[in-house]
Amino acid sequence: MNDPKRISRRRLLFAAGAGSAAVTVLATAHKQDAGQSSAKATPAADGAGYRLTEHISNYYRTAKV
Amino acid sequence: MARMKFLCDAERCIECNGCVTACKQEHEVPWGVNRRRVVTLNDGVAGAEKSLSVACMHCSDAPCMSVCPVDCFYTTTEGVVLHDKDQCIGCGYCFYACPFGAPQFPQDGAFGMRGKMDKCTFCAGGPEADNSPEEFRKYGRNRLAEGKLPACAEMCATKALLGGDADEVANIFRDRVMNRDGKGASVFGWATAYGKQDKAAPAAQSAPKPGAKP
Repeated sequence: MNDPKRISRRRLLFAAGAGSAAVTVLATAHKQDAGQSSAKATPAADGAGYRLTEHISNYYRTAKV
Repeated sequence: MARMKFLCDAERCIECNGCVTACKQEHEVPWGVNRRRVVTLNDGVAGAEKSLSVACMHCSDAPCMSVCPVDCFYTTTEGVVLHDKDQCIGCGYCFYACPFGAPQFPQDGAFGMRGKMDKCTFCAGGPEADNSPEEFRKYGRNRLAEGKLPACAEMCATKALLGGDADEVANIFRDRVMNRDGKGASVFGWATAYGKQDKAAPAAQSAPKPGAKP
């Protein structure tokens, strides 16, 4: 009753199932990593923020009126 | 490091909505979203009306930041509270938490659907590269990076709305309060522009009348 062809088909199905499960686990882990790395908002590193320019000095001067 | 703050002088605000218009025009803010608005207390009560221009106050301990479930808010080194629209999920918690009603949501979606939150950025843009097209599309113009101050404050005709370095703003307001000697038009520069009436009157009396002999 032990048909060598039947056994190999079982092994093939088992291997396919295990493989797809492994791919799913890897993809989920990768997605979680990506989500964690972008969880905290950060400002642009190249930002040139406030500085006392002539334009701003002029505004402060006029606001004193 | 300078810390950015807004301050609205209720004695000077004349409810012209120039700040609101300047903001909408500067950042091409869509219909239904008002990053800044003018609130009037005691509306219609003679002598008791007070108007204030209100937007995000860029709180030091911002409640919007505390309640955000995706942590999309951040504070710049100048104390400006900004948010990342790519992370915002439009839940509206910040809207309920903010005591000033600053967070706004687009109202053009189907079935009253909330979009990404939008609010005053102190004209400081967002996390994208300064003055990039992407930054302008999401957050509007980055005037701070251009060496300017928020358009609303710069546009204010009576200089009621002050914005900029908190130390400078506090000094300007302190000087005003110390030297304030009146109400209404007298506190927003009328006398400076046209001269005080009590000083102008003697000059008018001494001026020769037209047609009079010297």
